[in-house]
Amino acid sequence: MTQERAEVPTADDLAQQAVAHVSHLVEAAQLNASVKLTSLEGDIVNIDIDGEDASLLIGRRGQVLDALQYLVLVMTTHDKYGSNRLRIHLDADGYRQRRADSLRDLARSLADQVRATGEEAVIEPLNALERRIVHTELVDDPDVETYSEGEEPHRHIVITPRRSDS
Amino acid sequence: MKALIEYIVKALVDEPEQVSITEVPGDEATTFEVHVAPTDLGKVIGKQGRIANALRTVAKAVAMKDKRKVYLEIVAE
Repeated sequence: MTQERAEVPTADDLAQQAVAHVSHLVEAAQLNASVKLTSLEGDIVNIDIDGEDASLLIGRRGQVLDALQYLVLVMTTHDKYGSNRLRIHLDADGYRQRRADSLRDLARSLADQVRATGEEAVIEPLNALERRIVHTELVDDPDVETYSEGEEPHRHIVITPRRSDS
Repeated sequence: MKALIEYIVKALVDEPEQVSITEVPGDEATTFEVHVAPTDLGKVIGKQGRIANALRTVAKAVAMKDKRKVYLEIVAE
């Protein structure tokens, strides 16, 4: 066993390790793509994969990207360093940005629908990050509110008319 | 593909020197047997198979480049 009592690595160390893992992965998969650390804000590491083969790593609804992001997180942290938790945001070919834009559009148009009909609207299951985009988009909407229900991976958002208790 | 799986698995386990990947070619799909130390089984499978499933998802996606199908089997040595 190699259970040395190593010092807790800093977020910067872990970010470098995460990028090295993604780079090695892309190389081992013989993909024509480049990997770069775009930012490190607190414990959030943003890593972009770009190039000819980057789109292979997206998958339907970003499934492949989510899987890769999860693997890289476990490879980097080994579920250790509890308090020094790292979040890795992996993007390929600008997918996350496009997806965020389309989720915000969807949120607004469903909010309009709920406003018009007075009936709740349900969005297909989204991952935690995607749900957060929708919740955030509608948090200040005076007429509707949002909540999540169900268990992963079926957890989804419901948009309802805002209750006028006051 | 073998190199990719090997790289990921070695980074996940406590005993990377005990990792070996066997490639079993088939007509339609290639099966990769991932051999790890028994104590590392959980590290490769994960809670409710989450890690193993993520590994399969990534391997399948990369194999699509060569229009191949891949299966992964995780085996304790």
